[in-house]
Amino acid sequence: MVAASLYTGPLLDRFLPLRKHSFTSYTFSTLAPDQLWPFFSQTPDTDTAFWDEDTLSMDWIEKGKTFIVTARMNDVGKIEEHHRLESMLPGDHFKFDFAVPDAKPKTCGARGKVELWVEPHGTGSRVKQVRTYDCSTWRMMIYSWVDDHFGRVDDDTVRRAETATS
Amino acid sequence: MRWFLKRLYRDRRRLVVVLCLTFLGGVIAFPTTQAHMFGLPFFLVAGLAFMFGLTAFLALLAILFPTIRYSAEIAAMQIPFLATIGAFGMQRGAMTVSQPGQSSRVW
Repeated sequence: MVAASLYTGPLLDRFLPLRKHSFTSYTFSTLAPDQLWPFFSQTPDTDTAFWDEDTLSMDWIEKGKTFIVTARMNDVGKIEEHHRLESMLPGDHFKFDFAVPDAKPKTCGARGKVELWVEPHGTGSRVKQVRTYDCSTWRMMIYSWVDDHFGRVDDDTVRRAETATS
Repeated sequence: MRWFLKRLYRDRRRLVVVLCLTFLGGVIAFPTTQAHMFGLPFFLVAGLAFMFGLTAFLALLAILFPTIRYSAEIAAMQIPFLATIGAFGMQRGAMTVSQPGQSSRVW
């Protein structure tokens, strides 16, 4: 019980230091990189058909550079994220910073970077994604590693893409 | 079949953690047993038996019931603790059996 509560509860977060951490995930698909691309690299210019069900709106703040994403959170809430594009090579590489402007200072997961590569792999494609959070708890790091959490998130996107294109 | 392999792939690290913890549990459960089985010390055989038996069960739990998959490693975490308690209890029990007249002093 003690081990379980240490692993699943927030107790350790109070005592262990928070740190910047990068989570790397890989996923594979039978689709070509061009077909997967709009599902993984979304900007306000992306057709709404490619958005996931929790994305409510995307609007440019500065065309081609920064935009606001409003998304549903925990089924009932809303979250606003500011994204700043750093690099975008369609069908290949996408990189942006994100920040939640309304978050309390030092809130874990509220600020970071996402970088992704979509590349051909056999007859389909491989997506590599690196998510870097400026603040991350040890529990989140351990659980995400054991569970391959972000790989599962990417699998959901691939599943959505494969369903939409089939 | 594809979904099974995909889930197995996503659970690969969980299975390694479960393998290690269950093996450790088996080894801890019989630390002082002098017997040998298949030419191996009994604690290693126990470790391997725990590892294959429990990992197979916990792997199926994680793959077939993904919403409670994290309970596989939580269950595996309990095994070394329970094995320690069990091994300690067996040692105390053996001492009691070998010194029946002094059992009250032992306990």
